[in-house]
Amino acid sequence: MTVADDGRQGFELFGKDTFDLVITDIWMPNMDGFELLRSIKKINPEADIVIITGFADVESSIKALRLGASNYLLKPLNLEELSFSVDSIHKKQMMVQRLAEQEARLIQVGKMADLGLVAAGVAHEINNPNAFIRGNAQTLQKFWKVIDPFLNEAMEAGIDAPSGLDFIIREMPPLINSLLEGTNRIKKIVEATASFTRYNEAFYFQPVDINQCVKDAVHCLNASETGLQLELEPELKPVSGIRADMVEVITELLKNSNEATRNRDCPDIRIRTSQPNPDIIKVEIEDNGTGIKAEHENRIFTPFFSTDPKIGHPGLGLTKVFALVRGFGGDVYFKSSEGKGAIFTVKLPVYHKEGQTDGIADR
Amino acid sequence: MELLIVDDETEILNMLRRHFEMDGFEVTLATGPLEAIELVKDKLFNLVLTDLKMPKMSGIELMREIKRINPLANVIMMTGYSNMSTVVECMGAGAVDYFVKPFNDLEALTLALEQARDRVIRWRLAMGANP
Repeated sequence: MTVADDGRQGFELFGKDTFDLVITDIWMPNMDGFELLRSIKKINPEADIVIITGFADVESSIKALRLGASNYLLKPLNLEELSFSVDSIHKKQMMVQRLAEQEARLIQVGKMADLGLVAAGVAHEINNPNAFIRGNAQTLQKFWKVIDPFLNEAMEAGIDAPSGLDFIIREMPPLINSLLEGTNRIKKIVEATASFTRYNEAFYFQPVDINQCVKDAVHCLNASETGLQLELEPELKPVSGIRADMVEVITELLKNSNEATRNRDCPDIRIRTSQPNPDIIKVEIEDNGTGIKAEHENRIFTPFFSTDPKIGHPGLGLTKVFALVRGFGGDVYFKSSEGKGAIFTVKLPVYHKEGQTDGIADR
Repeated sequence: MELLIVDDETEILNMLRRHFEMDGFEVTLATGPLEAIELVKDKLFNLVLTDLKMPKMSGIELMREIKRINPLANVIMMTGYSNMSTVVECMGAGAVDYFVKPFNDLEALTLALEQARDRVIRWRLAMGANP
């Protein structure tokens, strides 16, 4: 709380810091309450201002409210009334902030869905050419196996070979391998992208033991020694989804945490499972790594976005997590403070016998 | 042994023709299901390798049509899409094998074709026909 003696000082202070609420008198020297209200609203139209006055006249109260005052209270002050007013303004502000966050998330989800479709479409178009490049490279390899010994024999027999033939003979196998390696890499990207289009397989959803998935993922990554702690709530209800994909979700999140804590002296990664309510299972993966930069927060689920671009790592891991979890009718989000670590939360619907579960994304 | 390959992508067709001719198959190519059906009516192909997603008619419908004309035909499916439901659907409709493009190893496809070829030969022998 900061106190100002008059309107002008109040206005100067307002410009220097961020205030959630301003409480002001009307009749003050230098700058009166109306002027202060008007000036503050010019800087921040969303600012909440409560006017207090000893003069109860209808005209000034209307004026104050028209200028955007949140409330208009009379002296002598009823403190209960004031704290009620402050309280409801606080609640309103929280709600506005939550709505803004929700809106941002919805926009993000919409963008992701579009990007997912585009990526899946591109992947599909790339798949066919990649298939015939790969197939031809394999056939070339097969052809070369016939030509190679024949040429070698001819060289040994001392034929009049064109210059550089020995070079070609030597370079051909690695050349073909390089072709195959390239197509293999494309294939992996296409496969990862294909997971965006797996949305409508609810028919195949099975009850999945999420604790077991966590253990499998840890086992897969050989991650048991990296300062990893499991806090798995026993006897959780099964979640609804596809087991292999569920393991993949955890694996990708673990890889992400491993990457973030790579340069930490004491990496600390924790995986918690719990059931906050009868319909939802929660998995949290927390690390003390580098955290997520504020400017990256809106992009980390975006296809092909990577904070550490490396060959062979196209930046699809978290996108896959997002697509799979949403596909299961769940939700995934994160909290992070840059430099201190991040916590990813995955919420998954509990499996019900009828197979179909409602999405929990909007809850 | 005669092999019919169906795919709407001609470069895939050429690539497969090169590979399987090298393996000793007599390869005929069709760029679509309708062309394939005409070919099958003309000559009873016992080995068919077909793409799954094609314009006008899917690989599964093509397989049903081929098997109506020639119940002995061994049909192998190939597709750029792999999910459980399509594999189950293809195998249920009578495909003898299923491969995902791009092929990890074309030799595995050769092996599947050779197995199918041997099966056709055994059937023909069992029926007293000239293999």
